Amino acid sequence: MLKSSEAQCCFTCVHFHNSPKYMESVYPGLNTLSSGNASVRKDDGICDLHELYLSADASCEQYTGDTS
Amino acid sequence: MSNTQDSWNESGEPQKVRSMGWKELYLKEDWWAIWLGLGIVAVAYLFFINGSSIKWISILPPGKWTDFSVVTQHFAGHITQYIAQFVMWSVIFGISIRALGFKLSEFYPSFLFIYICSIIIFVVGQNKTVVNLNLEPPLLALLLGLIISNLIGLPKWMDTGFRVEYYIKTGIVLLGATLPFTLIVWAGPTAILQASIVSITTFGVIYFTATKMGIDRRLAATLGAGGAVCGVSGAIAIAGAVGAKKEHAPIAITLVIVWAIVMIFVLPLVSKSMQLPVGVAGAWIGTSEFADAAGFAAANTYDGYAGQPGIAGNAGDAVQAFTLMKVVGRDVWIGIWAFVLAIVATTRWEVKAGTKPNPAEIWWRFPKFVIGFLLASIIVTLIATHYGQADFKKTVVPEMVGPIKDLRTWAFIFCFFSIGLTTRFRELANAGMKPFIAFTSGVVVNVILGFVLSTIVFASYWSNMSH
Repeated sequence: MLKSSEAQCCFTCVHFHNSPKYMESVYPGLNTLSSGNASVRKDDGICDLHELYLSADASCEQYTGDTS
Repeated sequence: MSNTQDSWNESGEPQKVRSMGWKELYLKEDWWAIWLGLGIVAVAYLFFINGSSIKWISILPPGKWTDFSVVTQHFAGHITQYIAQFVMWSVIFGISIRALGFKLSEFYPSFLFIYICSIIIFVVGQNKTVVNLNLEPPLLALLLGLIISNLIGLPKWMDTGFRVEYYIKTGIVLLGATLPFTLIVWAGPTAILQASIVSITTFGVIYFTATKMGIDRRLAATLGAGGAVCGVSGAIAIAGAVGAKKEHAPIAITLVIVWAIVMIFVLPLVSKSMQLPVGVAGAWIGTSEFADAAGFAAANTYDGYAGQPGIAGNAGDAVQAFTLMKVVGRDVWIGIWAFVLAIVATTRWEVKAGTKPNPAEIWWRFPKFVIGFLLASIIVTLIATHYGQADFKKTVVPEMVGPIKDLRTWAFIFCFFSIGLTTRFRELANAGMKPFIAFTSGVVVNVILGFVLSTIVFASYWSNMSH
């Protein structure tokens, strides 16, 4: 497992998505008794490669930088 | 990548948002609930110390009525105030909704729908015949919302105005202004003790039942957090902290929503059948409801029964007891649960991706709106120290605290109606039988243990809160 830093963590990886509206569209019911904009959610998001819901600060060896 | 909140970029790919650090102050709705709630308290105070009041704009429909002409005369005489209030809500919610990344072109028509329906809900819910059917406005709002969303349907874009959590968080901050800080200090430790007993026990029951049935530990923890800590918010916080599978959170979301809605109806009605004192019922709801929004709906409902034959206590006791139990006793600990479970996940469970648990998680995941709630309570308590008790009740309450409470009532009804409007049962994820059994086992223990602690062990606290 790589040591996480802003340069190489899930947030900067091409496989990771976490915008609040995206999360509410992917998780039906999230906006019923919670919210994509809630503090408790921090910046967590979905990794399409591993199909995980995890912290934006996480990292793994399949990291691919997002250049967009 | 950008800091915008747009869901999709030009290529149709979902965007990313980094909202931690200072950006959190305008990218998280918890903080907007604080700005909005404390802003209202500040404006109410400024008006008050200048010999005026915000009660003109905090108008509510008439209370319990039998003759409809009372209603028509009320609106004929006060329509300007309702228009002004709608404009006020639209402006202050609109600023924050835009900052949070939503489209105002979607929010405004949706909020107009919410506002008009809320008026109808208030009016119908205060009719004496409806009251006798135990259909207090919160239940009416929820039922109407459920009927509309599941039997009629509305365009998805209207969800922009159905911001359940934002409305309830704003309402909770305003609630702080009506809750003496001395009460929080007095009852807080009891609430924390009782809530901790129930939360830890419930989490344990759900987690171990789930793992015994072979459910993934990450899902077991997510279910446990949903049932024991803080409903959907607890579930997604822990899911993210432990690196759960993508499909785990929706399972927990489904189970929390279904059971939370059941409890909105069951807890008040069972409490009423047992003639529980208002504060005691509020405490039970605080341990045995799963989400703040759902719990406030149930507690508000029970407050409506205060004064009915056999039900001791004052209107407002249930909401106060619920707030102490749920917000102070459970919500504030989300960050700690997330931190501890993150440590467990990274040291004992197999993880494909992760990060070293950081104690800063406790702050980052802390439900910040609680800060606004506490500040509002402290501010109004400090103001109260300048008045004798009689003077406070005679002047400060009707001219300052009362209007704040009325605006809180509006925020709550917006929330309860939105819960129903956003609960689309056919869109919820299939939870599966094993997660359902695990979660339900926790529900059973939670309800029984919460009942015993509220009605027996700590009953004297919750019965005597008003004193």
